[in-house]
Amino acid sequence: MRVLIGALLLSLCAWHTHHRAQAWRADAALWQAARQTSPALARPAFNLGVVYLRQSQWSQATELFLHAAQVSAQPTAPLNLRHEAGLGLSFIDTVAAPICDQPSVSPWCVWLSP
Amino acid sequence: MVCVALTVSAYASSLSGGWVYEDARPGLVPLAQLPLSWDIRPRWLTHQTYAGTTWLLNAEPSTARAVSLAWHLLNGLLLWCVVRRVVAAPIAVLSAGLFLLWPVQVEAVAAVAYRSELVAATWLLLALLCSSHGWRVGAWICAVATITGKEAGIVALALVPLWAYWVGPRWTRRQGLAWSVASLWLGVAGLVWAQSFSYRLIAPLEAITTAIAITGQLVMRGLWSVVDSRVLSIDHDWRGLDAAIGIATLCWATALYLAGSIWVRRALIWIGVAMSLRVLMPSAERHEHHLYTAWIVVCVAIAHLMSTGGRAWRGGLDDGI
Repeated sequence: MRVLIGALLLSLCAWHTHHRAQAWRADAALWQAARQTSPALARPAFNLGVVYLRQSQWSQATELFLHAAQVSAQPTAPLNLRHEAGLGLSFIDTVAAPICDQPSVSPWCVWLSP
Repeated sequence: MVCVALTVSAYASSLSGGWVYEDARPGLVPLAQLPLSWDIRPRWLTHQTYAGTTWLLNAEPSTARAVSLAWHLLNGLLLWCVVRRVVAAPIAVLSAGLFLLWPVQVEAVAAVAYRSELVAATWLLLALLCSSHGWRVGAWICAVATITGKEAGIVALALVPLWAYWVGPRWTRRQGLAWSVASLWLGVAGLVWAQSFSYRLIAPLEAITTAIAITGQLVMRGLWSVVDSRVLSIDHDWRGLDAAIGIATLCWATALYLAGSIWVRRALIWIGVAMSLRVLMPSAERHEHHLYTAWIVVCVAIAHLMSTGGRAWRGGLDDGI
């Protein structure tokens, strides 16, 4: 009986490890999974934004960068979130600003620093 | 062999992936391009494993991931070698199998950038193996060598005597004194060395208590991941955890210690010591891959619990030998 329970536990571990390992195949899967687990965090939003940026999906990327910047900028945000703020904001300024004339991006540009 | 085959098949889906997150972070030298070097810096050996892989094989991410998986398998084998001397053979096999296959280990194994955990654990397990054979100088050298994997691996200097105290062979007072003096000397040197890399060392008390709460949550998620792997994430939301929850975590851990079997108690102490630097250091983040070393005794405790059933919760001293 104990051997059976042990085998069952190992099988369960292998199954969930297989599923978790799939998330580590690529940035997109990894950060999408992280967004589902921790939707309010800045880092998953920022890094998923980078993934969208590489895929030229500007509106999704800008939305995520803004979310990352807003979360990180809150004074009550834990220290481990704040260091992404500068990165997120600089991405918005340097990457999104030059493409504000594009219709898919322009609604988000009201958030950019003057 | 079944555990090894299961581990390879479980991780097979991650082997074909590309570089992820810190494997190739903008602004840093990509791991695959690190040079072979004798300039001893933090994580020197870990960096040499990246350089060596590129030099011997290639700079492909799939190769680097396969090397990390092979390293994890080696650690599983070493764990089996260490624990088979102190617990019954089925418990040793189950411990190694759980260590290889537990979902919380995925972050340390599948992410090439976190190989430092694997390298440090290898040295720690070698130190435990030396200690169990009575080779204390070898154990000390291996314990010190954990620094070449990851600087936080220095806790091996506390974990090795702890393991020897639990499972033997017991040290004489003179041997313990020699280990302590050598470790203290190294600890002071390490503090000076850490200062040269601008590491801040001790956090305020409230931050430490909050870190205990986070570590407790991390361990609980790690345990629960065998039921639902969606609790795992590269980044967890720890907002809401504060010093009060940290104190509650300590109370729960104490209750578990009092109610648990000998291996449950050992697992709790092992987690505490293995995670101590991560709790004390002010700038430290806490992620799943940091549990890699702590999971060594957790897996032995779970295997022991399963083998002894209800008897394990009566606080007896049955080692399952």
